[in-house]
Amino acid sequence: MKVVGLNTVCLLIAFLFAQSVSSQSLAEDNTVALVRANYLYQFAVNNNWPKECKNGKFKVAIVGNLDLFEVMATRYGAKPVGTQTLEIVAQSEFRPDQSYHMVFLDKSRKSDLPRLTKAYRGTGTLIITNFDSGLRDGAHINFKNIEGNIRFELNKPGMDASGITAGVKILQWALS
Amino acid sequence: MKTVIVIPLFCILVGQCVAQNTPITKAAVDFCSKEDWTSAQETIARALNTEESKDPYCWYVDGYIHKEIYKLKETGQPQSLLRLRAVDSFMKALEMDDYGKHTKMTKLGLKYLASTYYNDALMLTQTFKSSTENDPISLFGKFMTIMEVADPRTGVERFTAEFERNMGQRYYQLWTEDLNNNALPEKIIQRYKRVIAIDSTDTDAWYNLSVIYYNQAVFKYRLLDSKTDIFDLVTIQQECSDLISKMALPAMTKAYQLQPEKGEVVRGMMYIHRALEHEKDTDFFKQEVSRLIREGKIGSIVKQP
Repeated sequence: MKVVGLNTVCLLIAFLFAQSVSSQSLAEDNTVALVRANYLYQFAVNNNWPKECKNGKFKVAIVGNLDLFEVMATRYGAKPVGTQTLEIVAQSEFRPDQSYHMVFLDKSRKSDLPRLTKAYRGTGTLIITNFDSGLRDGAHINFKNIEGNIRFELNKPGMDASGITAGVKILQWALS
Repeated sequence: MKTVIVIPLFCILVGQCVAQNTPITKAAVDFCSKEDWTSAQETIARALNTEESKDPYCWYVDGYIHKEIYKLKETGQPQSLLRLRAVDSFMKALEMDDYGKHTKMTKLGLKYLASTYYNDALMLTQTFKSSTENDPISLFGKFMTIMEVADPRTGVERFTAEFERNMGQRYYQLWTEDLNNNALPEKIIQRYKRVIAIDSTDTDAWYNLSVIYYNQAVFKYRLLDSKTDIFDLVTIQQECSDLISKMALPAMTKAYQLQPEKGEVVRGMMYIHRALEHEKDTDFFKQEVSRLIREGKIGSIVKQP
């Protein structure tokens, strides 16, 4: 055997690694607001208001829930409700400043409910809440969360007394 | 990308012993020492057409020459034929080297080439499209095959985990560009599940897995509009609440258990509990986010519900 000398070879073995970072980010949408806003629109289009309420804008007040107002205004503002179009206003606390077709009262303002029901009794205003005592204290519809699902319970006699006829789909999906 | 592992320079004396009956191979080696690669390549090609091709050293030198030319001309080219040739020749040398005379050097050469396949695979994970997803997968497969031969005792788990993580991140990018592509979320999920299978304490993988489930739900919720029927609303909600409560929450909880001080994980817990209207938990994690901001552990730009 003959030894053959050759130049020294250098081998650089380098493995690349990406920076270990959590590159993905959670979508920041308020999903509860997205669902509730859709329900409010469903209530608007699937219930029947008295004839005298079918002129002008279909007015909705959102009390004490800015996220819901933003979603409602962005996604459903100016959408049609029959021949009317939606107009949505936000209130930080309840003010009986004008008549509304629907008022959503957030649980953060639950103490406003007695004033609200008194102000709008029998006037064709659908009152919607999201707290346990809502229906008992005069609301017509109350949102409930059942294992992550938002559903609603209904006070049909209260709606009838306000001249609002609950639609078939609303009755069908209301919690019994 | 950053280089975190540099295996110290391997100084290899190529061709310590060459049999007397391989003169053409020896001539090729001489060209190597002069860095005359063209002549070396031509000469070793001649050697392989002779009886010298029965000597594993001849194949080793062929692999070596093609490796060097690859480094000069085709580094960073995923489909490099020079590299492929180098690998094939090294493999042939190993196969023929019954007495293991050149095995150590050959395996080092292979290991180097394996690292280039791995690096190229990782580079492609940054840019592949849905139609080219197999390109990095194929390169990574090549890396695995070569490593199995070149260095079977080196664990490839961390390389696999890194590759899977990068694939997952790229699929996620593609998904954000095409939310209607329903195949992508499952592909992302599978990648992160593989990372977790390798290392169940990988917080980022648990976090990212949770994000996919959660965002799938959010993106479905975003489809709700004035045309949505109430029946669809109820159905979509059921599907989304399952994704959030049964998939996203357990994964994020695992990430939180592993790193309770990690801002984005705490924020994730806050959003998930908010989506499920778990008020007490939402408030708790909201306070935790505030604390982490106060302690300077996360930026103050974190949006709170």
